[in-house]
Amino acid sequence: MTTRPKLFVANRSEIACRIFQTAREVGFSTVGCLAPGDEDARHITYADHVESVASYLNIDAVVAAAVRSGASFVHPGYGFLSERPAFVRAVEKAGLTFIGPRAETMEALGDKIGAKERAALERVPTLPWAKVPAGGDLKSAAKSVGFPLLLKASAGGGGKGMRRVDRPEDLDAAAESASHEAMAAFGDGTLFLERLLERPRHIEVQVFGDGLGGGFHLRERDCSLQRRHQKVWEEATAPNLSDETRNGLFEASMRLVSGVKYRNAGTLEFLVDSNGGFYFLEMNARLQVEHPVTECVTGVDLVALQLELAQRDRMSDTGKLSVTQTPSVRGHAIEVRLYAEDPAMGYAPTPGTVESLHWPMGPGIRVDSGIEVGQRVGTSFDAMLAKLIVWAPTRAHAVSRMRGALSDTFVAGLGTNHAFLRTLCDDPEVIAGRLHTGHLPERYGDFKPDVSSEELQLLSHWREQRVLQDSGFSRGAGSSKSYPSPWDRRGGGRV
Amino acid sequence: MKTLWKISGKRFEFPREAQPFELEQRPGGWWIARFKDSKGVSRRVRFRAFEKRSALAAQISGWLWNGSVEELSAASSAAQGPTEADFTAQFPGKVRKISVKEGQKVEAGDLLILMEAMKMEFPIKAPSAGVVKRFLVQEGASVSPGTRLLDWEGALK
Repeated sequence: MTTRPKLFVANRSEIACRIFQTAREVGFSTVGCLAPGDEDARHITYADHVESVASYLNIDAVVAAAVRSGASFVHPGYGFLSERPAFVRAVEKAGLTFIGPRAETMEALGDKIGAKERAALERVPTLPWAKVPAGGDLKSAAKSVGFPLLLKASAGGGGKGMRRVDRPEDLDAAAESASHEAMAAFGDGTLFLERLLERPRHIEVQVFGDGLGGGFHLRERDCSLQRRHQKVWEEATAPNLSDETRNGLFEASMRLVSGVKYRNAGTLEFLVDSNGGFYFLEMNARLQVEHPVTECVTGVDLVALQLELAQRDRMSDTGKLSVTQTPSVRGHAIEVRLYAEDPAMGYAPTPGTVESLHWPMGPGIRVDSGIEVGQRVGTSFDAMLAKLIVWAPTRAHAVSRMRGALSDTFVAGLGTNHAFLRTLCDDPEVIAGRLHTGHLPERYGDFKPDVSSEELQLLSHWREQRVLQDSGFSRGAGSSKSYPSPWDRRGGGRV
Repeated sequence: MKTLWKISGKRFEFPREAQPFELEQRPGGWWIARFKDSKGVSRRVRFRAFEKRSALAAQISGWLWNGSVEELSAASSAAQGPTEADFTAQFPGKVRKISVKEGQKVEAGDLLILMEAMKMEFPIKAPSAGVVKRFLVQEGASVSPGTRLLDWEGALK
């Protein structure tokens, strides 16, 4: 009897399912974890084995569950414990292999300041910044950084607790609000100030390090379309980027990868100004939400590569990986994030039960989903329902393919940002690839639903017909499922 | 009687008299509608729709809309004013800040309450000019969906 290696995935929903899939394909058995309130989640169905944990954020509980399951490998996914050095240490102390960078690397790159200092050491350009502990001298720090500036929590990421400040007199109000959110989210009210670029692009470089100083990059992604610093639309590769900037980004990224002897998959985030100048923001020491677009254009399965490196490390095998250099790029890929939130109502969460669901399929379409029909989507966890990813030979074709894929997507029972995503596919700036981080707030600050009178007539007709059907007025279940107009039977079926 | 479809706070009225549509139910949950558009051109439109209780979702012409169906009597729909839903918590969260005083006159769009959920802030704004009679929640209170947040002076739709 051969024993398959066992992988514990310390995460939930779509990313857990995505990791299970590749893991199984390359010969692992998979273990999922379940926190209270998440019983309906899709990853519970798809795991080979499930362990319960008190919380996805509880290091002791998650490590104990991994040990209990008999797993030798732990994949953290993104978010939750994925970038917590203490988690890496606890996993390794328990004799398991953590799939990701070393704890020391996370410590060096984990907080924004440390990362910038380390980056500067490797001659990677950064924006002016300052750090202010709760109650510190905000005014002089702000003056040294310059306006406009961005105020954010020193700990954590994901856009929580970020504020734009244009004038010195707005500083105090923004600081109070940002500090409160930072305390609530991370338990640390330390603020981080950084010069704000007007309408920059957000470009990031996917890297993979062998942990010994070697590695390669897998080119860039453009994630400029964001709302409240949350990415909405992501592409690989970046459109309209000069070779000079692109090569500069790659070289700077590889200097840092080699300088910290980075291990496994990671992403360096940069802002790029209108002149092509680039500034390092931070390094995400994990697999990212938008990794599928890179997989689509490079043909590399990043999770497979992560597992391969972890397996070699566990067996102290220093042989070559199956991918050792930057792959060539084929075509263009775009990802959109489908959220249970309402873009027309300040992105308020729209929880509910998935009553009906239909995903698109066909050439170049990939759906990384975390939902199923009948599943209750609450507000305890992230509001992302699924990622829709398309690949096509050209960017123009990819935008068009995304338009079609969204037009075949149906989710009933809870509100989503679908209409917003679909609208982006028709946006001339998006079509032209003129992307910058200010575009969504500037153009869609007052996004409102828009249903034509013809569509309303059609739906009205459909609703009338349903009433007739339900009350037995339909022509029955014959081969022709064409129903008479309700207006022929006025007063008959309508209650 | 009017039938409205409320999507993201915006109300769309279903027409009482629709032009002739021929509907065909297809396997897989799709429907095909055949009709002549306003220019007299024959059209064939593929769509999906799902209705349960008062929730209606439709994927039509490529856009997916989720909303609720409201039946309104002619009298109440004529009156312009906020609805009860405007002042009811739609999701579980916390009352971060109450921004106006009880009895204070407010303009449409004025911030009334700042809510917090999923570590983000959500404003509850005045849907029209009016007066907040009384707040039914306090700063720092946790609220569940359906909790009324305030009393508005005047009748609600």
